[in-house]
Amino acid sequence: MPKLGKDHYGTIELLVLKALSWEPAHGFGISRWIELVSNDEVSVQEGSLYPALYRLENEGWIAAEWGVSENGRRAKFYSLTSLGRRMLRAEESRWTTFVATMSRVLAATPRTVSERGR
Amino acid sequence: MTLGPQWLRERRFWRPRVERDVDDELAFHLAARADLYEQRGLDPQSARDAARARFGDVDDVRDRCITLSNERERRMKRLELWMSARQHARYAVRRLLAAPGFSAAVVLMLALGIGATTTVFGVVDGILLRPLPFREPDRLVSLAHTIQVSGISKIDLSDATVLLYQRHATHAFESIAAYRTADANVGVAGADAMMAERVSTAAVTSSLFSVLRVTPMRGRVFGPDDDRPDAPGVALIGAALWKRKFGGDPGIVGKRIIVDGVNREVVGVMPDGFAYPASSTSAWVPLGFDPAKTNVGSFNFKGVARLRAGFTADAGARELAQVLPRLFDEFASEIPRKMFDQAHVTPVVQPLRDAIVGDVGRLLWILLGAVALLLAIACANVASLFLVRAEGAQRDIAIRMALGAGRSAVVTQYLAEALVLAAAGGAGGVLLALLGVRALRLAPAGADLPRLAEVGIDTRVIWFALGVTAMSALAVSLLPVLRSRRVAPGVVLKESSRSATVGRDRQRARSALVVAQVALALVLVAGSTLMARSFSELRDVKPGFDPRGVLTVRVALPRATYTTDVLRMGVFDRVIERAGALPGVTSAAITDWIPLTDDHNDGVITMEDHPLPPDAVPPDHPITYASPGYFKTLGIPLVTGRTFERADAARPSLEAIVSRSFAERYWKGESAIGKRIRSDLSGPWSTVVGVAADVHMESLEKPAEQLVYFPLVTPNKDGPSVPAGVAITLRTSGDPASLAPAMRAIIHEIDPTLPTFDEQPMSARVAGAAARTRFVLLMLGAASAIALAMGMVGLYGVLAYGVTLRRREIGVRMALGATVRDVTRMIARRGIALAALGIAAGLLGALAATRFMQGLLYGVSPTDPIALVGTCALLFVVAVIASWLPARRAATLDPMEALRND
Repeated sequence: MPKLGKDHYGTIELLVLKALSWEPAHGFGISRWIELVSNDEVSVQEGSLYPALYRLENEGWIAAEWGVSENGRRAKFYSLTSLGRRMLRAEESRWTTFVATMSRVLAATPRTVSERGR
Repeated sequence: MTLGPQWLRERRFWRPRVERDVDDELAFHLAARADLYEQRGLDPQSARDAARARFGDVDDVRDRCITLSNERERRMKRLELWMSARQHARYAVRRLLAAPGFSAAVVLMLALGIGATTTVFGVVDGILLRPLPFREPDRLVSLAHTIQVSGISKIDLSDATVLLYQRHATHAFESIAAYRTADANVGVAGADAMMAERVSTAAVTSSLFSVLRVTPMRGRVFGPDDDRPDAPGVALIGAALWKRKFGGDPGIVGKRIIVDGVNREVVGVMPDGFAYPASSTSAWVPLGFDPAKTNVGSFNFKGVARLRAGFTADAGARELAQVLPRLFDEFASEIPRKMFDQAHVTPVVQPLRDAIVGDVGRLLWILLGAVALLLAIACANVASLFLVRAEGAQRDIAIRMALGAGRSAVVTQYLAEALVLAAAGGAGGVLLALLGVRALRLAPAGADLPRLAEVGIDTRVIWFALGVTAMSALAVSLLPVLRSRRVAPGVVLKESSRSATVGRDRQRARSALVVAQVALALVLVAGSTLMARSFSELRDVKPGFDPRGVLTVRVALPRATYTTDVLRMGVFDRVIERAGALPGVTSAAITDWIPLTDDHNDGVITMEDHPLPPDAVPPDHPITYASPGYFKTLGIPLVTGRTFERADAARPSLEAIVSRSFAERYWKGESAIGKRIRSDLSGPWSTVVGVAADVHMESLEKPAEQLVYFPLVTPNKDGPSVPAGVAITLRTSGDPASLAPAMRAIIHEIDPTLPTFDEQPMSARVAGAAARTRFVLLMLGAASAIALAMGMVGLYGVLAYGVTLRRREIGVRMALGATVRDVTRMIARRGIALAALGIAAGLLGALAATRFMQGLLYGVSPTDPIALVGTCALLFVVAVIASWLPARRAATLDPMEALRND
């Protein structure tokens, strides 16, 4: 089962932004969401999620606020700022382009290359 | 209001307990994950373990989160501080713009004070404080000797002593160098000889470059081989000369130039900014000492050395003193050893910076003191204005405080206003300082400040200005701030403006400030009065010659071309003949020493009828060589006797003329004419044929020298005896400066390769001789004029405001029958009383401060009664004027208006 390494820079950040794009959530919620939507395939080292959250907060892409969790405990909720929302859109399209390009490259055969070269 | 002050609430908001929050957040995550595992059937302990395992390194994550969080904290705090500073500044600016007169006055006064202080600090820093622009400058020293001989006390080094020290004084010294400066004609070999240019050069030992630790920009510096007397001719040139004269030719190294007629190979180019020993030095040639042919007793070389790390100048001097007795063992000498011993030649080692800076230190510190006083006056004045302003705002503040504003808010308001004004004043001050330093650089060269080229407004000076600005801001806001603590809202609000005694207390503080201002101004004015007295004394000094209508032009014959006395004398004869024939010229002459320049020349003089005891040290006297027309040209009267005969290069005429003070010293009560003297221990005697009036040769401040004149041609046992570098002097009935082109043409006609230089009317040289005194006078004068004006404004302000406060009282008095005269007197008396207090305090201060001016004064004592009384009188007059204006205003009040209008 291929798993992404713990700190492919940008990967976790992108996942966090995406997770928050629907509604504010606390760290565990985000972690849970990633787990569910990726069928636990993108299993980040859960701990590395937090420095990423702090970094994003420092950048001003997400904002944090203390609140009360669904089971009544004190938890820190994160939400996307408008800047974060813009960054998410930009990152998404960058990522898609990257993936498309990579797929093409990986699917390429010597033949297609030489044809193109002609 | 239980939440506490605003800033605390903000703090709580911005500054959560970082660690605790991180811990809480991570704990929440672990607990939630453990719950999940428990739901799937794990026991609580394994659930917790599994959650931790899934999480990874908790401590590492925690540390990283705390670091990131703290970073954010700091940024937020900075931002918050910046925002609140901007807020306060914006409010302050808005309030100040509403009072443009007040703001402009404050900014102007602070700008003057800060500008003056910064300018002078820039100069002090560049000249006195900053290390010399060489590597490890603390280890650089100058070498010289003291000597006990009549006439001189300090001498430099002779070639033999330089070689001796270089050989043996290696314990304390890393390297020892010597040099001698000279102006030389420099031209490109093979090019048009007329392109020769007069530049200042230095003949140096090769060690100079290792002493100063400089490396060339191109090529190499001199090496030990270049020190040999028979080494091929080489030269180094400075970057500026390289660019100017050789167009920055990249292939300059290896090319040949002519320095004073000697063909030399350029071996290197020194970097920009390197100019030693003088800031004008732009070419270097080797000294080429010959150890076999030294001249032990001719101390003509300046010494500079680098100490080894850890050695002091004193240790260096001790080592030189130990080495010096070997001089006569190792070098041949033309003077007897016993004579040398009797002269008590003692080595002196001094930090190089002290040697370069010389006696300017005192002058600059005094100037810095003066501008500091000026700044203090400006601050006192501004503080006084702030008090008035605080008074006006008192009701506002009382109301704000009654409504719950904290005292800190009020203090912040004053500080913000003061800071905004001081910042504007500081900016203006730095601008003024930039102009001031530029003006100083252009100032009469006669002020003669060493290292002036290194003076500038740089970051260090800007920091100083910032510091001064901040201190001023604190100083001027101190009083209102202190007083705001005393504001009791109840009292202020009750104390309506109908009260006659309003602000009495504040008036007292302002009065104290005025007294201080007057006192400080008096100290400054006393200083400049003393300088003015010195200057006028100095102007009254008769130089001993008549400078009007005299032109001086220098010319130097290269010894390489003009090898014999006859050749040189031939040129001089032709110059005198043709110059004398110019229209308007009444006489022309040649001399080697123009009075009031540093052409200085002195030597041993022995007198036939004053035989020396065996091996005694003969006296030393200044010596001038001059052509027969010299006395007529310069207007130096001959007291008795006649001038020289026409000189003949082939046959020295063996004549001498002495100055009056020389004659009085040795032949008091008898005639000097017919006595015989010589400028040597042996050789032919010269007969005194005349006695000339005394002339100040070195400076106006020093007494006229006991001087000896010899003709241009003198007997000399070796080497040429006709000087090569001379000055042509002309007396004309018209404007001397207009003769310069004609003079140049004559020289050009005789030899087109000879440049003339330093063309100046004699009157300019006399003016230059008092330049330093005039410089100090100008600086102190400007400072005291400003101080006086500020003091006057201060006194006027406090009285005028007093009148405003006492309007009702005055109105009542007038209604009760007081006359205009009574009221005027009442107000004026108060101003004069304040001024008198200030004058008394200032007089004490002046007596204490002017002592430091001792070295700068000429002909007056630092406690000169005339100057001090004059100063007090001047201040008093100013005080009377400043008091009279508000008094008049008070007296012209309409009593009805005053009583009604509240």
